[in-house]
Amino acid sequence: MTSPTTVQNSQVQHTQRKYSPFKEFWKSFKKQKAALLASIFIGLLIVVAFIGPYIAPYDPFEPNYDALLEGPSASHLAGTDEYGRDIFSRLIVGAKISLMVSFSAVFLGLILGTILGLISGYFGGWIDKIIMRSCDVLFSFPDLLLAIAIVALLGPGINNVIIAVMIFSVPSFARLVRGATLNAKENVYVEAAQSMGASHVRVLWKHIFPETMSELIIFVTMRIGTAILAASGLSFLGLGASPEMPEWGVMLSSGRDYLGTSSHVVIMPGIAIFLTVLAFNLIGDGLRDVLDPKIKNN
Amino acid sequence: MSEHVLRVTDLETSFTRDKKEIKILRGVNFAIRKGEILGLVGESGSGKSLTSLSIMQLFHGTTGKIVNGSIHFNGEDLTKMSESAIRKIRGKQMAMIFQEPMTSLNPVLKIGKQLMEAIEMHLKLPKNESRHHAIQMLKNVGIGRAEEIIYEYPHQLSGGMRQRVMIAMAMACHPNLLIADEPTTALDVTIQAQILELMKKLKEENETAILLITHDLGVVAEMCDRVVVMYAGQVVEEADVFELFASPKHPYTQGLIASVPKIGDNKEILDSINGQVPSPQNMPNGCKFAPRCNQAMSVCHEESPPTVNISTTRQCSCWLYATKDVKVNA
Repeated sequence: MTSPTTVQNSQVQHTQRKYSPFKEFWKSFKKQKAALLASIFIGLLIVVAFIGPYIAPYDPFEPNYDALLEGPSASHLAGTDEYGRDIFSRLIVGAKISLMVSFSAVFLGLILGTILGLISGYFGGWIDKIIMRSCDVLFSFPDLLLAIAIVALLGPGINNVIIAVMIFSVPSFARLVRGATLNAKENVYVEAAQSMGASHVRVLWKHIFPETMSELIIFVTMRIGTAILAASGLSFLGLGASPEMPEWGVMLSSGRDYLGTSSHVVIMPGIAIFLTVLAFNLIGDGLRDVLDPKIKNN
Repeated sequence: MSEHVLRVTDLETSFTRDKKEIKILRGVNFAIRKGEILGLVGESGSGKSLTSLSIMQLFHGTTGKIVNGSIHFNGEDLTKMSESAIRKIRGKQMAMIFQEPMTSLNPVLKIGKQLMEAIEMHLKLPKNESRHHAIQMLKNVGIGRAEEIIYEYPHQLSGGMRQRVMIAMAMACHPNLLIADEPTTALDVTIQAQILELMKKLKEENETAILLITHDLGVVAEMCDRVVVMYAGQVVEEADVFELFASPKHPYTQGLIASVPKIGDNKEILDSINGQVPSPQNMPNGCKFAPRCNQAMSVCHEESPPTVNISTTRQCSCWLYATKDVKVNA
């Protein structure tokens, strides 16, 4: 028989069980099958991006004039291109470029956009007006057109593609964070923190920024997909990576002359771009279902 | 004068809307001595909370601004200090407890972290010592399992516990002045009594002066040494708590006290003061309370009443006493 004291003890222990936000997140995230699958895919892609050069079956830059435009086969999983280079090896090595460009562009955009959004939402007044109207100006251009204009100004190259994609990401981040900040700063605990003598930076960083996190995480994953598309698009137009680079957009671009005869040259990088962007969007959707409190309880 | 921790003189605070300045506080005067509990009472919209925010200078994100008057805190005028100088005072020498314990703690930070934030900021203690201090503070406010609570999140605590945590936070640096803005309104009655008892205890231990903002006259009678009654952004009456309840002078105070339902009265209709606090854009001439006052005279509608010293501890702004022999004390 259980004595009353042990019952009490077990109750006390129950309430003391450590609360872990990550555990709770994982519990609901693993129910999102599509997002889970997509995260596994992206995880593999990231691993491949790191070890790509070591596992690629062929040298991605080495031409082989005995195997031009060969279709997919056992020796060349994704076939060869117009110089006889192994497309599968090029895709593997190219994953690094695509991921690096999109991650760094989104990450830089995130930092800049978040800082601007926090300042704009928290301080309000003329600072808010200047930042938001500048964002409106950037919003009024179609994303890709803006990116083309920026690259045209700065000159082609991977780094400038990163800058261009970053610049058109900034206003979206700024607007998102500003909205979340306006919400968060109404909380009494923000006022309470101020009443305890916390500085603006401290209040913004410790009490307001965490409130914007769940929306930011969702948006970042979505945005990476867009960034990959934009970077590939720019490279396709000849504004990004140089033509010999195994960048997916470049491969798409150089292969388009052979679309009629050897369609795999275009289809393979197309599939790579498609799957990667799809995977990021699926993760974003899954995260939204888990993290967005408006959807959470449904 | 020097014994006053806080002295508010002719405080006027206004907001700007559509480029028009709307004055909400129109000359507030009062003072708090060391270790004293001063009650600030009045209806909603009478400017109680704004008075506290003006003292803390927490207008952030609003157009609020002190346009006139002074706030002397420990001999220094807060209205003339820079934002960063005031920040050093906030939380250290003067702290605040809010009405809603449910929302005044950040839900994503652990209790300990929030408590230690203020301690590290103001007392400049290393991490272990500030944790130790935080645990000690939680024990002081009657939280038994303080060592565990500091690793918990606010949603794991009840309302009463959270308010205790808030009090611990406010008292962490032993402030000279504690502003409590309706600290027990959101709590149920038994917890209310505990929290008030706790505030009294802490006041006695630390000689902290407390500005207790409330509309609950029961709390005032229980807690306060002196009471300031506010109406429409002005102080209408100031008195010792016993005097105030024994013989309220201002018709508004009389109305407030009459409005408190008494157990055993069995009234069908409760007493109330007719009408509402006038909106700040649309203040009546003369005495602001005159339109609702049942003793209003013609002079009340024309001219603002002077502040009359009824005795050394009592002041009242009403024409009823300006003309009569003010020495007579009930």
